This record gives sequence, C-alpha cells and structure tokens, in this order.
Amino acid sequence: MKAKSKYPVGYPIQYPVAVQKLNWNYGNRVILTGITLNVEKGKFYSIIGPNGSGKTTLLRNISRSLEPAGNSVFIDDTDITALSSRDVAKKLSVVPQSTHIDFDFTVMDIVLMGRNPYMKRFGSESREDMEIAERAMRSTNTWYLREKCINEISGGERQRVIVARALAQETGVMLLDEPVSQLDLHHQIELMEMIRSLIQTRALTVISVMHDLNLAAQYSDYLILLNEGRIVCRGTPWQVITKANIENVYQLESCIINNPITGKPYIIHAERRKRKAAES
Amino acid sequence: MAFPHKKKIYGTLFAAALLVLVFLMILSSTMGAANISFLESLRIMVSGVPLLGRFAKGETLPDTYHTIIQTVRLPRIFLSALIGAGLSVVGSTFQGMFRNPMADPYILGISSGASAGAAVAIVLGAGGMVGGLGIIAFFAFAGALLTTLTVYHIARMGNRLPTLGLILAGVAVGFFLSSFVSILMFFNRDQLERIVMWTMGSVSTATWSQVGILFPVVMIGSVILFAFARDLNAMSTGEETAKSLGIEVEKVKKLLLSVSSLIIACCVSTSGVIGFVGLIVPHSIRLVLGSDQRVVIPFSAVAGAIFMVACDTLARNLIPPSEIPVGAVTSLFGAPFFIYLLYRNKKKVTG
Repeated sequence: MKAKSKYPVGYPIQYPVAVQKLNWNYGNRVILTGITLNVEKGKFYSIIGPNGSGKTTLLRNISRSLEPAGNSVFIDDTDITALSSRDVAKKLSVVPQSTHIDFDFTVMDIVLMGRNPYMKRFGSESREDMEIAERAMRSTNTWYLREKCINEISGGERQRVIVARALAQETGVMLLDEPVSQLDLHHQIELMEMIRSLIQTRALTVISVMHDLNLAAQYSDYLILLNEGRIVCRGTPWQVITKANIENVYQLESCIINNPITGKPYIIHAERRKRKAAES
Repeated sequence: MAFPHKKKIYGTLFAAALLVLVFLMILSSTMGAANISFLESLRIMVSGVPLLGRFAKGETLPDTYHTIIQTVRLPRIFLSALIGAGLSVVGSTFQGMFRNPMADPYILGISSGASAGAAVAIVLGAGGMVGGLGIIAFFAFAGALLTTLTVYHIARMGNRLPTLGLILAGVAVGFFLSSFVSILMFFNRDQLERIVMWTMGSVSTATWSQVGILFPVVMIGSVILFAFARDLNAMSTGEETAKSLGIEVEKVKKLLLSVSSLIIACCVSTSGVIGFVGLIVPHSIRLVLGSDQRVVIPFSAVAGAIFMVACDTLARNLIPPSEIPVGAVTSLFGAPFFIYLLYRNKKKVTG
C-alpha cells in the first residue's frame, strides 16, 4: 500500500481516514490489536479475513459506531472523538450489514434521511435536499422506486437504496459492511460495479468489509487482511491474495490463478489443511 | 410523495382534524342526563372565555346548566382529550424508538407501577383530596415514576441503554408489580372493588386541577417529542443507522424516555390504566398517512384525543344512569375499527 507519494518529502498528506495503533476489547476479550492504517483518497479498500477476525469491529471503530479511544482514528486529520455525531455524519456514510426496516417508509423517505446531518431541528427538507436525493437515486438507479415502500422491493434494490441514502449524505468516505453477502451473483456484481463507478464519478473513498475474497480481489484497489485482530498483510490484490496467506489465515490449501478476464488473482480452494494434517 | 411535497396537505388535514375535535368536544358536552342543546353549550363555554365572553350572553341560561357544563362535563371532556393525546403520542414514540410495532405506552411496566401505587393508597385508606387532586393519584404517580427509574437502572449498561434490555426489564418489573397488586387485593377483599375499578381506568372524577396539570405536561411533552420526530424516523430504521446519520442515539433515547414517562405517569395516575389507545391510534394513523413520525406524532395526538372523547362520551351515556369504565370501552369500539383498517389495507396491497 506504500504507493509512491506525489507530494514532496515532508509534505503533510491529508488522509481521508487514518487509523493509528487502534486497540479494541469487548470486556476482557481482545478484538483488535495495534491496527495502523492510512487510507488514500479515491480508492477502494476491502477489509478481509475469517469470521471473528475483527473486520466489522474495525469498520465500526472507524464509523464511531463503537467509541474508539482518543488519538487512534482520524478523519481528514481530525481525531474522530473530537467531532460531533453530526460532523462525523457529514464526513463518513455507512451502509450497514442488515438493512431490514420494520416500518413502511417510502424509498424517497429513506434516501432523504441521508440529509439529516444538514437539517435543523424543526426544519424540513429544502429544495436543495430534494435535488441531492434525486441525484443520489439517479446514480444508483433507484429513482424509479421512489414512491415504493422500502419493504416491497427486492433485496438488491433495497441495498441500492441504502447506498443512495449514504450518497445523499455527501461524504468523502463511504463505509460498507458486507454489502453483497445477502445478494445473488447478478446483484453482487451489479452493486460492486456501481460502487466502482461512484468512486470514479464522485471521487469517493470506500472502505468495505468483504466476505468473498474473489469479489474483493476483483474490485478493490487495496486489500487489508485481518486475522485474530491484527493486520496480517495489506496491499494490492496480488500482494495479499497469495497461497501462503490463504493457508496461514484460512487454513485452506488453495491455488491462485490469474483471472483471465480481470487480470486479478482468483482463488481456487482445495481441501482444508487440518483434515490433511489429521490424516498424516 | 415525500414529506416536503405533502406539507400543505398535512397542514390542512391537521386543521380539519382539530376542528373535528372541537366539534366533538362541544357535542359531547351536550350529552347526558340534563338536556342541554349544542348552541346553549357553546354559549356557556364561550362565556367562560375572557373577552369573547361578553358576546355569548351565557347569563340568560339557567345556573344549573352552567354548573353541569363547567364543573362536571367540561373537565371530564378536556381530561379525556388530554389523556388520549398523551397516550397516543407516547405510543408512537415508543413504537419508533423500540422499533417494535407492539410497543405501547405501558411497555416499561409503568401501568403496573401506577396500579401498585394506587392499590397501596387504597389499602392504606388514603382517600382524601389535596388541592383538587386525589391522594391515590399521588401514590400512583410515585409508583409510576419509581417503576420507570427501576427499569431504567436495570437496563442501563454503562452509558448505553439497550432497547431490548429496557423492554425485558419493563416486562419483568411489570409482572412483579402485577403480582404484588393481586396479593394486595387477595388480602384486602373489602377493597377489591375499588382497586379493580381504579385499574379499569376512568375519567369520571375529573377536576379542573387535573386538567391544569395535565395540559402543560401533555402539550409541552408532545412538542418535545415532535421536535425529535426526524430522529425517531432514523432510529426506527436501526440505531446504528441513526448514529451514522449524525444522531446522538443514546442522548435522544434518554431524553425521549424521560419526557414520555412523565406524560404517561401523569395520565395514568389521574385516570387509571386506559389501554389500547396508545397502541392502536398511532397504527391507525400509520395505515392511513404513512410512517413518517413528523406526521404520525401530531396526528396521533389529535386522533387520540378524538378517540378518547368519543369513548368516554359512550362510556357515560350508553347505559344511563350507570357508567361503564372508559378503559373497557376503548377496546370494545377501537378494536373493530382497527380490524377494519387492517382489512382495508390488505385489500389495498393485494389489489
């Protein structure tokens, strides 16, 4: 990830998100240890790793859904703990894992909620808010759904609506927590391509927790591989997706091939290493 | 259509609903044993209002009419309206805050707390009045507040207030206090009827002092809850989401919980436990006008008031000269109406 800086030496580079020696425990259980991370503007980062490796916890620390200690998470060089919830919501948007909603809001209502950090207590959405929401919906192909109730559309459509709400927040950074894990293959690809194009058109920086390593490798600029709360490896997909890393972290014997269409690494798994070990 | 487009329509609709409420309140004041006409009643009411009173010529009407309207029927009608509004506003707040459509104002055990307080007062024989307010009401109020505080402290985890914990603690404390009331009733059978009648809920002993306390609490409380309607919208789609939209979820939750509890404690201690209103009125509004709390809260307030005034009018006129407790009437007439709404909605969805 140490891409050559285009700035002269000593120039203070402003990272949209920077994490410094972040630790996190749930009670006595240590979840994250010494996470340090600088995130470059306009890139797509995927956090990968096995279940329980701390992926979501890391994302929640960055979004301040959990409260990190001071001086460990920075947004635009400002300590996140020094910012108000509103200010954070103007800089970071979040697409959460579960998007189920119990009440009958229309799609338009949901997207307009993204304007919340900009609105006054008794104020209602201005014309500008409506226009921003419309733009967000057009660029996620959800404008035709605007009158529909959020519970009567498909899972793929709902996920796009939630991304539209995040866009309506007009933040520089978008965080996603396993955005495609509940979608079928077609909608997975559709959503990933949409996110890529948003990065291009809106100069968005994206950090996403991903379960599917092949999808992550195909669409991300950089991967961050976590295991047991530590960063094991980070870098371009080719640097991270290696036979040794997969074996080390996932206990899987695998074969990495060059995806002939994308030119990205593609994992073909063999059997679990443990079973082999037990036999010998 | 989104909220900003509909603002005008909502405004007109809200004004219309308020008119219906005023009309119903006047109509209700004409009903009862003494035969007083709509216009006569209106004149008596207006004559009580400063400035306007000069034009009403209320003094030409018999004094008994004045007494009946001003000290018997009106406080009762106002109290019903306030209690209906208070219960409904808190019901819609709790449903959004707990993301649970089955939440009602009593979900945190506050009704059991008030009942326990009232039962203790009844058993102790504390029946008098202080400044127009019953001593039983003071006990009920204390019981309601103590219960809320207990539930709050059981559920609290450090700085956070998990909603599931709140609901579970509320249910547990509620059941505990219900058993306590049952045991009190069992050992004090001579007071059984009074305790049961109190729990059934009634506004038959309404006084202007009660109205005077409830009015500011319900009005100011509702405005505060309304001010947080957009936050509630976001919270009803998930607390994590609300947080990412810039809402201080824990702070908002604590504030809304305190305001709501105060409203409910005041309502329940003056009228006893009136069920169904706080659960069903917000849902009826949602079925008709959608889920946006900026609409649901104000319309629930007016609809709740209309519903309670209508129910209490029925309660005191259905089988004269005796009265049915209004708490029993609310479900009797509200449930079929709600089933009709559900049915209508089903038809709308399935075509």
